[in-house]
Amino acid sequence: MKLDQTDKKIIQLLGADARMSNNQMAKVIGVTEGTVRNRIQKLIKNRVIKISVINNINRMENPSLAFVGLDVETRAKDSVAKALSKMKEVRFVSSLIGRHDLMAFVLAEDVTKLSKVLYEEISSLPGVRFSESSIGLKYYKYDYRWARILD
Amino acid sequence: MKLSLDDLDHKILQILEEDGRAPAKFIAEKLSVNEVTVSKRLAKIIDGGFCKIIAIADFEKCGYDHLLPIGIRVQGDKLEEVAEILSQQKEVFSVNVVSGIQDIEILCATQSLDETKVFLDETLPSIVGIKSIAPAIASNVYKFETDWTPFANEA
Repeated sequence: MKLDQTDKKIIQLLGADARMSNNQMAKVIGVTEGTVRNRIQKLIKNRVIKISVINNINRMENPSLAFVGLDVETRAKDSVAKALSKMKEVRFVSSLIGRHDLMAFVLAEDVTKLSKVLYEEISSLPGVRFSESSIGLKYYKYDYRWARILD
Repeated sequence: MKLSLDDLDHKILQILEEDGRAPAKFIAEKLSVNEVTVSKRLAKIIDGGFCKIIAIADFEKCGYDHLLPIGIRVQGDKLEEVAEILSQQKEVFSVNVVSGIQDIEILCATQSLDETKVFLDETLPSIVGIKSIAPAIASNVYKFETDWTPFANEA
């Protein structure tokens, strides 16, 4: 789907506040309410955007984040990635070109749960040869408006 | 007194998870409360910093074909400075100082192989204090959840 200036402006406005009404957006952008309505429908249908409720991580007691690089047996790459994706605490999974075979981000409610996921659940997946974790200490930047819309 | 979310707030959020743009009137009817209550609760949830209701954009569909999860090692005394500089780069959308093999983990999105090359071969090496980089291109993203995220220091 090719995006034009109107689409981009709608994405920008909804990225700041998805509760903004079609009428308000139409006024800001300078198009009709109908155009805004149609464009939003199209953007959602084509999975360019997803209207989402996102929760502030500071509401968790003691959020613990780990960046995990995994080296896996080549044949097991897809099955390990899928098994990781099924774990609730695993928030991001991708295969990589470079540095490792797979990368996962794990977010747990506390350190105890995090170490359980890292050292019991992930290490014991068949095909995982080696994993290397870094523990998140401080976010300097996180733009939650960017992601992949997969499901 | 610290604000917290109660049952009604959670019920409102449940409806919004289905349809983030559901009008307050619709939510009110569904929960048999009045519309003003719903609007007040929404203001508390959003202005109180509990949740945001926003559109997430798929960066690949917006033309950013390459996602780069890069690990960076930094001279000890330059850690904060490097993290600040990385945060100012427009193609970098996540910067996290970490403890482990790497010192900083970033996520960066670029629009082409050329932009990727410039970022890896020119932008990063020009930042004083970076000792080494562990670059990668995400070839196949299996999962990318965003329902729990930090709100601080957004772009």
